[in-house]
Amino acid sequence: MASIELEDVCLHFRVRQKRRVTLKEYLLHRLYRRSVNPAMEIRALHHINLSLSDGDRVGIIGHNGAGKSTLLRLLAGIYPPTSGRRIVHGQISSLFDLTLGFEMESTGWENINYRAFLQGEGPKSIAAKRRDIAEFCELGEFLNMPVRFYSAGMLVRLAFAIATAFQPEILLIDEVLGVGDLSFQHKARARLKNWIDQARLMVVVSHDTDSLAELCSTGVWMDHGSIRQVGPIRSVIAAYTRFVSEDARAA
Amino acid sequence: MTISTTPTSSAPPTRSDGAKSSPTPPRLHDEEPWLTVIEPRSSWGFVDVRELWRYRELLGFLIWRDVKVRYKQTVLGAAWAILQPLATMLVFTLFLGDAVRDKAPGAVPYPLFVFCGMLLWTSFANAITGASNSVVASQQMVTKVYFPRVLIPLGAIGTVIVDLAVGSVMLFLLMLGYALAGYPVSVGWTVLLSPFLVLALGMAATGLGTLLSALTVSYRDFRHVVPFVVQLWLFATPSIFVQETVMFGPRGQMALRLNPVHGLIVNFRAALLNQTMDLPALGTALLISAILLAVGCVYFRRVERDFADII
Repeated sequence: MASIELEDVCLHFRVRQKRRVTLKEYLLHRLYRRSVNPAMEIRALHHINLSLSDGDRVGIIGHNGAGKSTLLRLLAGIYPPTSGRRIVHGQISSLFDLTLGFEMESTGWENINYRAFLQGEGPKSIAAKRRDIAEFCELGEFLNMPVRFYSAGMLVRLAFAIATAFQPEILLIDEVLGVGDLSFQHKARARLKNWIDQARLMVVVSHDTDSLAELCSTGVWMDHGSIRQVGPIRSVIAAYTRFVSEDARAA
Repeated sequence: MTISTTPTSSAPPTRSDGAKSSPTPPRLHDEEPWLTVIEPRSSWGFVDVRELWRYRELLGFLIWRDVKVRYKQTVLGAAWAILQPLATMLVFTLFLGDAVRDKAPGAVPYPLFVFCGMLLWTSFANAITGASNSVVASQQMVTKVYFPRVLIPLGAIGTVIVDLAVGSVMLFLLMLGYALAGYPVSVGWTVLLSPFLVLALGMAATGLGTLLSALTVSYRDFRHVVPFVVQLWLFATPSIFVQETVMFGPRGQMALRLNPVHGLIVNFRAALLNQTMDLPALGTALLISAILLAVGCVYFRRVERDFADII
């Protein structure tokens, strides 16, 4: 059973104009009770209630800065909520960036281990997948070389093979992964589709409403850090596009 | 913040949607389902040992990666690990050797005396310097993946193990050489205690290292502070000085006691070279190390929630 439960979750960031407080600033502030670098609070998410369970395929849409990616990162555990509760049953794959976490000095094999460790896998499950990864990326002898000698294409192939080798119960995908526009070979597309199909629960953030309609069953419309609408994906997309076009006409 | 990843006691997962015929192999690593509850309350927790255990392989990889990066494209490789204490030993023997001849406790040869202290000191110094920068240097990972953040400074500290291992071999050879040359170097049962003293030093380094790594995220000033303080700190350790009672007044000795590295190095050397150990100093050092460890872990835990945001 995989499920995600968000109970009245708020996420606030405290941002300073000059980005961070220096020791001098800190002391001055303490001494004179007056800050030249006031903290601004950004309410990235407010009062989000969301309950997702097994089999859900959720697409998140919304304008730029609506909090889509922030919500995804909160689900992944990167940002703990400022208030409210986040309860997750199941193992999450929270790799949003395909090329993240390659150690340039290490070989392809070592990087397979590293990436898998980052996702919380253990040596046994990695051992079972190593062959599969090596076969899929077709790197052959190159896997024994440090990845800094790899071409960009080879890196992407390896990254993709690793990312899709392990089957998380909960899949969180930001559009960086480019579900809709992976200009991969047929093989990669089939693997990706299979990977997504196997996940018990999936949350995707994308601007590409067409691929969302294809992949998802439930839609979540984010607007200025709040959920505006939850429902069947097609009706949410329809409402959202109507809103956007009306907005454009009004402007 | 409480992050607990506990296996629930429910039955192993079975798919309800009839996809049993799917080619997914059963999960090998962890048959139990994962439950993660993240809530903002109680940010005063200690360390979630169970979660750390789940990510133990990642820690191993981080240590190993740092070791590799440290010595990549260096001609001398791991020899650098002993060159630091060795060079210090040579310099101090050259300049102080004559002055302190035969004044070291138990008439231990001064070069051996210095190397013994410097081995521990350089390890400690490298550990906290490496750790303090580690989280900031891993910005990419911190903002993109969730894993226990404390692994980052722990990895940086663990790297020192290699240096220590190489240095210990060197120390052993040095002792052997002096013993064969007829110097009064003897080894007693207390030598068995020396690994524990190194462990205690590791505890102090872990506490201070995690603390500094978290502070560096919010206050980059510590990037300037740490190397400087480490430099000065050397002179508050008994790595070089032979007769503290003569060189430091009573007040200075009080201050020395507060330095956990002092008590540990003094006793490490005494344990290794079969001399009387300074138990009050050891007790104080252990206590302060434990406090450092607690403070470091709790502070790290308290602020790690903001890392992704402010880094």
